[in-house]
Amino acid sequence: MSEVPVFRTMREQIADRIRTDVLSGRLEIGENLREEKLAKQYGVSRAPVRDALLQLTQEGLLEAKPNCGVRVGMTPNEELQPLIIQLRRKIESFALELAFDQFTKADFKELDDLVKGLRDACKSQDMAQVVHYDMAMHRYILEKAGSLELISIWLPIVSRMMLHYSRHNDMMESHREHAEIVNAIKAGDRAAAFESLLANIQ
Amino acid sequence: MSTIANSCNLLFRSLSWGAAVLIRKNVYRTIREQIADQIRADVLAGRIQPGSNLREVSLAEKYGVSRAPVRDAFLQLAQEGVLVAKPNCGVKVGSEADQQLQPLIVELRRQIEIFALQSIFEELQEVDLQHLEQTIERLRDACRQESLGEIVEHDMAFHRHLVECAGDSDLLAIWLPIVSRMMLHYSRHTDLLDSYREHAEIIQAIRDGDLSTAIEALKSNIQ
Repeated sequence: MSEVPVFRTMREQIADRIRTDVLSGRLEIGENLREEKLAKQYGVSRAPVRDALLQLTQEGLLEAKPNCGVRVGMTPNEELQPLIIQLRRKIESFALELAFDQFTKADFKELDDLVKGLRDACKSQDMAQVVHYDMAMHRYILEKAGSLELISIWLPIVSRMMLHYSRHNDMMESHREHAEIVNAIKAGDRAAAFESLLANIQ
Repeated sequence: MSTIANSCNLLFRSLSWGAAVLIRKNVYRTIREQIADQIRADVLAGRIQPGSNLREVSLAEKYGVSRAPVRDAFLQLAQEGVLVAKPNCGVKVGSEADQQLQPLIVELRRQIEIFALQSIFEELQEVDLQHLEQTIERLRDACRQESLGEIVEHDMAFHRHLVECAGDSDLLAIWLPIVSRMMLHYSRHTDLLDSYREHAEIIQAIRDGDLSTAIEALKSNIQ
């Protein structure tokens, strides 16, 4: 099993930040991203920004225009969505199975905090934060499964998923779905945990 | 290394006439992508050993390019899992694929490739079939010579062609990191030529217009 590093590189942190901004719509589709401007904004040198932009281009979130910088990619490919959902469900239930007996009290606390953060974000209808906590929760389970490789398979897939918060009449439903997953994990109820995880991915 | 046309012709659907019209388009690959493809093939084929260090400078010299595209190729391959980046310390070829993930990897590859096969089944043209046939002819030669490196290369080229023909770069970008983590079990064949035969069955089923047989053949080839 690969070792999971505790520290995230500058590139990863910047990539995470931009990813959240794109998925939440804070950065608009078609918007041009400039290395220099982002470097200034984050107070870092251009190299990690450049690397982050390259990473996100491979993940499918950004589009490179030859000799012409990067822009936020077009809407995800509609035809691929059924496949994307299937793949995400496969990966995340595989990870949950690996992680299920490994969760400790400290993990429960972390997960509770994420669900709380999601609740506040849903209440204030802050899309950027909703996406952030949503992704963070799913990612927590993947990381708990203990394989970095799972994350690198998962990221390009999740970046190509259309996040349908609109399927919720009420934003708070997103919070409730995630709370159900966490509660089932805490209760040690495998069947309920898998069911609520799968129901949440659509 | 100059930019060369990718041999795969992608099919694009134009909806402008109300009916689907197929348009062939050559896809050009950047220098970074070509270098990444080359290193990936070398690693999968075992020409570069797990754990060996790769140096930006020496590869740039070898390929006659500047360091920037080599560096970018390293980054891409690190994300795919082919290489492992060591902070401030270059990259090395990753270790063996994670054993416990293999059932998942096999399942994901099957889902993606079956999806690709289904979506191109009606649209595959003679030129694509001929391309696939040429690929497995090379695979057959490699099997006869028991040249494992080349077997891997042509095997992957076959599957990649299916994925690429299925349309956009999204599918390929999802597929690459998965296939990079797959352990290729040629040892399951008592006769290496079985690998050739499995691929020939897939092509035959496509030629017969028999989708379900093609899917079954593809499935049993991915394990």
